[in-house]
Amino acid sequence: MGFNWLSEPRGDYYTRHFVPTPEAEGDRLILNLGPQHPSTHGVLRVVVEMDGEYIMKAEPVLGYIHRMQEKMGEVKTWRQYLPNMGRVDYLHALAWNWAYVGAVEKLAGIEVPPRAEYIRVITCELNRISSHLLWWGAYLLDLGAFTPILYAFADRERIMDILQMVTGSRLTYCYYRFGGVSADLGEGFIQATRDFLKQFKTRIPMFHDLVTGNMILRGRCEQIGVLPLEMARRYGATGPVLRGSGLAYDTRRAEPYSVYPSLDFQVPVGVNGDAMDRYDVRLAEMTQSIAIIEQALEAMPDGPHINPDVHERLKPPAGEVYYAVEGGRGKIGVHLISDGGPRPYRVKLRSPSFCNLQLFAELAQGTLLADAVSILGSLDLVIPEIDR
Amino acid sequence: MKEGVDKLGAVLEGLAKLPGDQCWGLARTDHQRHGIHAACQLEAGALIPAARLLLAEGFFLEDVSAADLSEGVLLSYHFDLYDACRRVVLRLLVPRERLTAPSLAGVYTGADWHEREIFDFFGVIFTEHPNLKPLLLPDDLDQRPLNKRPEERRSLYALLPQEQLVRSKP
Repeated sequence: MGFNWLSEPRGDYYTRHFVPTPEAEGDRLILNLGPQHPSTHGVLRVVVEMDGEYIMKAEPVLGYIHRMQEKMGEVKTWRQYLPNMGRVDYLHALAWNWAYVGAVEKLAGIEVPPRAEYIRVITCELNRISSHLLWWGAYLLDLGAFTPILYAFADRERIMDILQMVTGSRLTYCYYRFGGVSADLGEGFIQATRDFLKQFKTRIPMFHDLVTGNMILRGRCEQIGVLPLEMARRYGATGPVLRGSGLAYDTRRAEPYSVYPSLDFQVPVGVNGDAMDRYDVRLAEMTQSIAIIEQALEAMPDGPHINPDVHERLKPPAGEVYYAVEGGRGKIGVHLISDGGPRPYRVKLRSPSFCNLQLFAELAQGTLLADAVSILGSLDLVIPEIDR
Repeated sequence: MKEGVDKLGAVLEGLAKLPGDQCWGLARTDHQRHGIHAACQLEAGALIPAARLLLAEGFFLEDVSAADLSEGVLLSYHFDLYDACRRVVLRLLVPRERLTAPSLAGVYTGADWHEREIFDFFGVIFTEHPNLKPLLLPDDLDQRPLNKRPEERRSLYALLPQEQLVRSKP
């Protein structure tokens, strides 16, 4: 407090406290990328030390859209906290819905009817496709291709229309409830989903024809930002970022939840761990999500969509629980501590982008500035999820 | 799957070999109920050796969680395996009079930001941390938002299963 502009040295706190690399000489330039840089998708800032066009050191600066979601968890009741989840990661909101609802269900011992489990799988996977579509369009936009995002948004729009039918919203969904989901799927939803999948299957090969083989894209992605497995483990990377490096780690398989064990799907992996592999993994995952939704639509039983015995003013017993699900960006974890009261004692949200962004500093070291933009995009960051 | 069981066993054996006054309350927990396979309460001096043990067995750091309790700030380091889910939590109780803990960033590079976040929210100082600056909160904020008022704090013994809190070997 007591901030005095005149007595302050140049720059803000993070620029003043930026420690250049030890061998730095006079011609190094300290540059601010962001917080409003178009490639940062949200408000992320990276302080970089440049030697000509090369990055010598990068330091992400976070917190521009920090909302203290974890504190909100402690002042709201268990149920009141539900809508917050759609706002942590607005692109794959249903996965966050699921992580929190699943944690509370485990803590309180709430049974979920089978139909609700299938509904969750169907809606969560639809949401995963829409999340990957937005990444696909936006990443290519970063790399200078304008058209793909128009195609991506045309399909994403259809998914949002479908999800709107049952959730009532288009982006920040709050659809899952303790013990089920808020509304049953109607015939209209099922038909619209089937129609969409049928058409979307023809779109993915078109995406590949349009973009994947493109020389410019390959030049900007191949051998760029190669992430070795050992480094991924040191940082706790998960999701497509980790799978791009060749490890088939998917929470849906590694720590199975809901009805995923009964569904047949592959976990796509890359070979080299470069930006191109991360790209390929995400596109392949969309095909897998289609397969999952089709199976779930077939296997979905009749019955209630929500457990009617869950008390309005839920008070889970004292204790702790850790629950994880696979989101579009990786492992979403919720660590809850309850003291048996009407509000959580502590809510800790493990966001996958948080760990994935952390390795950016090391990955960007020694690369061209333009490649760093490609690397940043290939990590598929959602800044509100990192800042929470 | 067997491999994961073996690695968990190896870690538990290694933890049990730590000096008795450094490691207490080492227990397997019910994954079905808590989502955690094993928990271990440590003293500050044993944290880094324990983390090295987990690193050698191939565990990765999922996250570091903290909670303000009446005994102090409880840090929970969650580790997991990539090949099969075996969640191990190392716990460290930091007394309120001296809010310092050793930094894990030298062992797991990814601990860096998790610790900075806890520094922001709880004011715990991590010694030997390479870059302990505010991460999410403004640099001139002098409040620790997740610290509770004294009357709101609950005891460790009221929140965690008893078997995790006694000095015994699994």
